[in-house]
This record gives sequence, C-alpha cells and structure tokens, in this order.
Amino acid sequence: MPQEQTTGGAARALSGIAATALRPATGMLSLGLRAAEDTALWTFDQLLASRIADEVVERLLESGQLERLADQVVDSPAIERVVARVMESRLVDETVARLLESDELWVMVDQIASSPAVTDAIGRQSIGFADQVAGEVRARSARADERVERIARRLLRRRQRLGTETP
Amino acid sequence: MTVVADVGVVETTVIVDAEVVEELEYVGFVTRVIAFAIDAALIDGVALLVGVVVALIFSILPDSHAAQAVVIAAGGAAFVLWWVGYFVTFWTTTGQTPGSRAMRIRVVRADDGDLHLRHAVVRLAGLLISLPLLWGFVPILLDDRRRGVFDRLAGTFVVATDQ
Repeated sequence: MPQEQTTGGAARALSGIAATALRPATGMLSLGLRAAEDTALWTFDQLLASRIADEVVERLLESGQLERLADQVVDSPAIERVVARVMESRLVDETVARLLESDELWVMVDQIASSPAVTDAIGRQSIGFADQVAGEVRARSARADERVERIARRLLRRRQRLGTETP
Repeated sequence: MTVVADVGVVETTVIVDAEVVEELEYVGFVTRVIAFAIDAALIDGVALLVGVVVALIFSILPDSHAAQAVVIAAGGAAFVLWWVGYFVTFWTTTGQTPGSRAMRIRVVRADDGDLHLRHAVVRLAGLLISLPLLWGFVPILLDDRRRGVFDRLAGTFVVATDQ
C-alpha cells in the first residue's frame, strides 16, 4: 500500500511538472491559432469586398456548373427518396391541417382575392372570354349571311356577288 | 369624299381626296336580324319589367275602369317613347345599339357624316314599315352594299366594326 501511494504521488507530481512546462507552449499555440483565424477572416472579408468575389460568382453562374449541380441534386434518387419520405410523413398532413385551421390563412386568401391585381386579372379574363364568344358568334353569322344571300340570289336568278360565288 | 363600290363586291373602299381611308365590310341579313332580335328582347324585357311593377302597384289601389284606361294609354305611349328613344339615342350617339354592339356592327351614313336625329327618325320609320314579313329586309340579300329599305330611305349603311 505505501508503495502504491508513492507511485501515485510521483505520477501526479510529474503531470504537474509537465503541465507547468507545457503551459507557455499551449498559450503560444492558442495565440497562434487565434491570429491565424483572424488573418483568415480578414482575408475572407477582403476577398468579399473585392471584385474577385463578384467575378467568381459570375463565372460560376456563366459556366453552368451550378445548374448542373442543381440538376444532379434534383435528379438524384436520394433526394427523391427524401422528398417522398417527407411527403408521406404525418408532418406534412399535420402542417396542412393546422394551416387550414388557422384564421390567418383565410385572412390572407381574402386579401389576395380582393387585391386589385387579382380582380383586374379576373376582369381581363372575363372580357377576353366575352370577346372570344362575340367574335365566334360574329364569324358564324357572317358565314350565315353569305349562305342565305347565295340561296336567295339563286332562287331569284340574280347574279352572285363577286368573291362569294361557289366554284 | 366618295364612296366607291365595285359592283358585286361585299367590301368597299372609302376614298377621301384620293387617299384610301378604310375598307368597309357591309353586314348581311342574318347578322342584322340577330342584332335586331337582341334589341327587341332588351326593349321588351325592360318594358315587361316596368309593366309588372306598375301593375303590382295598381293592384293594391281601388279598382276603377277610367283609371285603368288612362294607365293603359299612358303605358302604350311610354312604350312607344321608349322604343323610339332607344334606337334614336343609340344610333345618333354611337351608331350602335346594344344588339349591334354584341354583333360588332355599326350604322354609318353613306357620306361618312354623323347620324343626326332626322336620319335616325327616318331610319326608324323605315324599319317600322319594313317589319311586316320582314319585307324591308329582303333587299339586304340582293343589294351589293347590303342595304335594306330603311337604309336607302335614311342614306345609311351597316358595316362591321372591331367592337
């Protein structure tokens, strides 16, 4: 027992000495790391502030790499599986149910429905439809005009109008 | 200004000082009858509505044959006024009645002038005498510029329009 106590005491003493000896070294190391971190951040800030960042983004967009990457991500089976799993989960059903129950949604729907942009669009569509119907009725009645005139002129043995004679 | 029409063509070119202004498409029998039917339906619909309202009001008043006769006479006069006013007002203002508007046709004068009250009244009178068996409409089928009796009387044409 006394021997074990002696060994333990020596180990503690050694670790204390080692810690004391290494303290300046770890301090220096952490200082260095912080300086490196600051330098990296400063460099990154400078890069962002310079034209390089803009040009890099521009070139990236022009090269089409981002689009290809997005295509790959969208087309990947893994993403499909994740999306399918999310859609099949109860989370979506519950979210939709809560959304439908909320009064705010219907207030928003009412506001959108009564907004000038939507009412104008509906009005334009109605006018467009009425115009379309009127145009079609007019076209048909014009054809009927020609037909009735042709018959009447034939019955009364009158010459046909130029351009409307049957071949 | 001259209105030039080749014999046998439906479309005619109106020429002002040797400059081509627009091409006119004369409107035929069927289209005009449809437009007139729409107008007649509107006129009769409104008259019917007013008649029903007036009849309901008088139904709660004490019955009197003299009053009834007066109301019927006044109603008849109002109907004639409404009928005349409808056509005359629309022809002299826009050249289009609601029926004409629906069928995209317009009444214009042969000399391209405005349609005045006298033209409208003459045209309406011509239209009235043309109604029995639609005899006044028959020349529309045979005339190269598709004019009815009432058009010839008032010096008007009916042409197609964009609106």
